[in-house]
Amino acid sequence: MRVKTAITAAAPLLAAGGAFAVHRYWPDKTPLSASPVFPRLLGAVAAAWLAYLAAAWYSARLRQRAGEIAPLWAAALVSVSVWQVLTGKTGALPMPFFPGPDRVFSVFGAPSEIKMLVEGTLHSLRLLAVGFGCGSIAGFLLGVWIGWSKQAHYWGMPVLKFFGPVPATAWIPLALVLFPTTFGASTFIIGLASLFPMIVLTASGIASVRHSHLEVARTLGANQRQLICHVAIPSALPSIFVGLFMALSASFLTLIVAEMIGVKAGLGFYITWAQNFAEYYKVFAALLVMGVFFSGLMSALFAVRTRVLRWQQGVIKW
Amino acid sequence: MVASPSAPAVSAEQVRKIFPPTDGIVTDSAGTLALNGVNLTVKAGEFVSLVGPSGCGKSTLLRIIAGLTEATSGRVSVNGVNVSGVDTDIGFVFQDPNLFPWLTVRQNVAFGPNMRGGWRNPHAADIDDLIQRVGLTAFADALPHHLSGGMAQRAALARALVNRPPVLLLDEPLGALDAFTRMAMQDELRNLTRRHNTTTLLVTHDIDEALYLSDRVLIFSPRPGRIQEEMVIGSGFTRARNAPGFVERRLRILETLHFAPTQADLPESADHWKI
Repeated sequence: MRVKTAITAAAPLLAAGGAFAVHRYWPDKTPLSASPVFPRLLGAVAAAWLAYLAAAWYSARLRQRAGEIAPLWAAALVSVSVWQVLTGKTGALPMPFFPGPDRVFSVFGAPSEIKMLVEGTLHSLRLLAVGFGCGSIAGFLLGVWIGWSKQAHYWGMPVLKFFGPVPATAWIPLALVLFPTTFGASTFIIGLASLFPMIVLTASGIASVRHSHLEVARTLGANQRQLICHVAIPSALPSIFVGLFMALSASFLTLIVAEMIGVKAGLGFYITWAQNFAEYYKVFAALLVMGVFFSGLMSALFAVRTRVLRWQQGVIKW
Repeated sequence: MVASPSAPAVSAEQVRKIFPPTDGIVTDSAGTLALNGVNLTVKAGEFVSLVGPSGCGKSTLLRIIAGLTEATSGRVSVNGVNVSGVDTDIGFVFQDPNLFPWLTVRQNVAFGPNMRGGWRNPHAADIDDLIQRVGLTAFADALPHHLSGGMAQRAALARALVNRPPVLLLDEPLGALDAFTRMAMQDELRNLTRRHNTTTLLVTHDIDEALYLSDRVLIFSPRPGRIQEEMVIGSGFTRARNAPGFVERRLRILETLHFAPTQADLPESADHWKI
């Protein structure tokens, strides 16, 4: 048992060491990148893990967490090493389409590339914030209206059923005509992508409010507006959050498509730009940044949901 | 709207309710006659129970008095004012506690005052006092999914009472509770309604509960519902579940509802029952 614990704790260190050895001593098929970023990154991960273990020595909670995440970290490091073997070391995957990690991480050592990636991320974030923000707020308001009012439901649902399944990107030609700037057009497309899931899920949440909750609220003196704000919307929140998640994923997709075809900035644009110069290692670097960026936003939304839906945790498991 | 002191707290005259036909379930194109000419008067401060077979329309009558359902014809008034829509002078407790799951117990109890706002909003101390009276002080900040059925129903009762409604309508509020919790809740209910002299109408399937709590018991006929018999309990009545008067009255209600044992049901010799 103790031996097993020790092996688990040391696994990320061993994996980092192994990956470094492969990087340094395995003979190369294509020349190794001169950039020191990748070996330093391996060293940094190993050092961070050692620091974590030191902290875990004093905290039972961290110790348990360390045991849970150690295999994942080890696996991630092994995967990176396998990736290097398949690319630069053996040439099993053809260059320049599949660069090794040494080359991909070298991008994060070049100040000019860092600047472009940061600017691209900020630009994508701005486009996403405006498009997703407007689309989901409008979708929420329309969803509440359609879910609450029978008339709005009668007239609104056929429109939703007809246009809802059409991918937002199909509207691009129209958006380019309607809006003078590409920023406006892409905001519109991203907004459209988040609009439909938000309307549909908000409306279904509002429409399935328990009738008895509304009756109780009425006997307690709630008026129409209070029924919507204090009963219907809180009880529809689980469904509204599902809508937000779908809207966010849809707007990621639309954002990148918009940046790849029209917008002259952002992460999607960076990818197309790098591809045009056949600098595939930059494409992979941008994909890594995108992964961090998008999963960060998703985790933030998850954190908000866990907090807001605290009351629901005993009812529905996730 | 000040009611004259002599006016009955609740009155219903010739109330009829026909539910429209539902596709596939009731083929009778005329719909379902749920209540047929119900007359009812409840004096201020009186505790009246409605008993009767399932589906006889007791709950429908209660919902009509609360303004949640509209009568097909007839007149219903509460404190001398005709009922049209839901009025906050009425407190309503359902069989299911129906607590708002996203609010804590205290927030649930404070829901009514918060909705009504203004000067009628009681002090937070009043809310805590009521929570204490139903024995939930330790759970005031708990969310409904942490409560047992009995606790949830007590919270629902506190929520209905916090507006100090002159009329309280109870639709089988204790029906889903276990026997012990139910008896404890009956005592609480009696104390709370006595304390504020609340006019109470209780729909129940439990004859003992009706006898134990009420000043008057109204026995409904099967559908279409109307009041078949009235039993005045009176103040001299011993509210003990095993008192001779109690058992005798229970038997009389059962007879009215055709549930009393007939000669054919009884064994020939009582020896059967000796162990």
